Amino acid sequence: MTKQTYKVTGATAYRGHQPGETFEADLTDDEKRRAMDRGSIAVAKKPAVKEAKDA
Amino acid sequence: MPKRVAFKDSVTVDSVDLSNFARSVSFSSEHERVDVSGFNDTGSSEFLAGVTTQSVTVEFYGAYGASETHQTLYPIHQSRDIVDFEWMPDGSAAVGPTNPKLKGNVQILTYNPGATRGDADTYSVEFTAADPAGLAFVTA
Repeated sequence: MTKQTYKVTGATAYRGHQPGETFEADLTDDEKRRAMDRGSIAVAKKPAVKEAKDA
Repeated sequence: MPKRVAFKDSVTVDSVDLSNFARSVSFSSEHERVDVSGFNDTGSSEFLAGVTTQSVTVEFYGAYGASETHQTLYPIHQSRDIVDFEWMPDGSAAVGPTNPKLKGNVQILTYNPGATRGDADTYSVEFTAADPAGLAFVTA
């Protein structure tokens, strides 16, 4: 399994993370399915890393 | 330890914090009484502890929004999934000897929501221990 970034989209806290927060976790397929089906979490895209410009 | 009024309890099912939707928790752990009595002068019975059956029953408020009571519990029952369960007396404090956490993997074998006209929508759900580790209080 690999860690993925999720956002808490439901009205209740998930794994100790409050609604609106993002977190990284290794969820099993079943955990992910249940949590996403009921609207607890959604996969969050990691913020794009800006490439450093040459000075 | 002082006496307490229960109002900060924390109830988590499948990692979802359902504390605000729960209003009572009742844990049961029972060893079967196996009668191993033999003939004796006093007529006393003798028992040994047999297999253990554990469950925890929570009374929930019915709520049907995303990641609320029904949408959390019904899929677990429907899919016969085994999920984590946690209850602790004070959800705002760390786990410890004075704030033990009951935890374990559970199933929802029976799911029976209902409603009564004019009353708060509440129903009880029994979580049955689902693996050999059972439900146990931890302090760390």
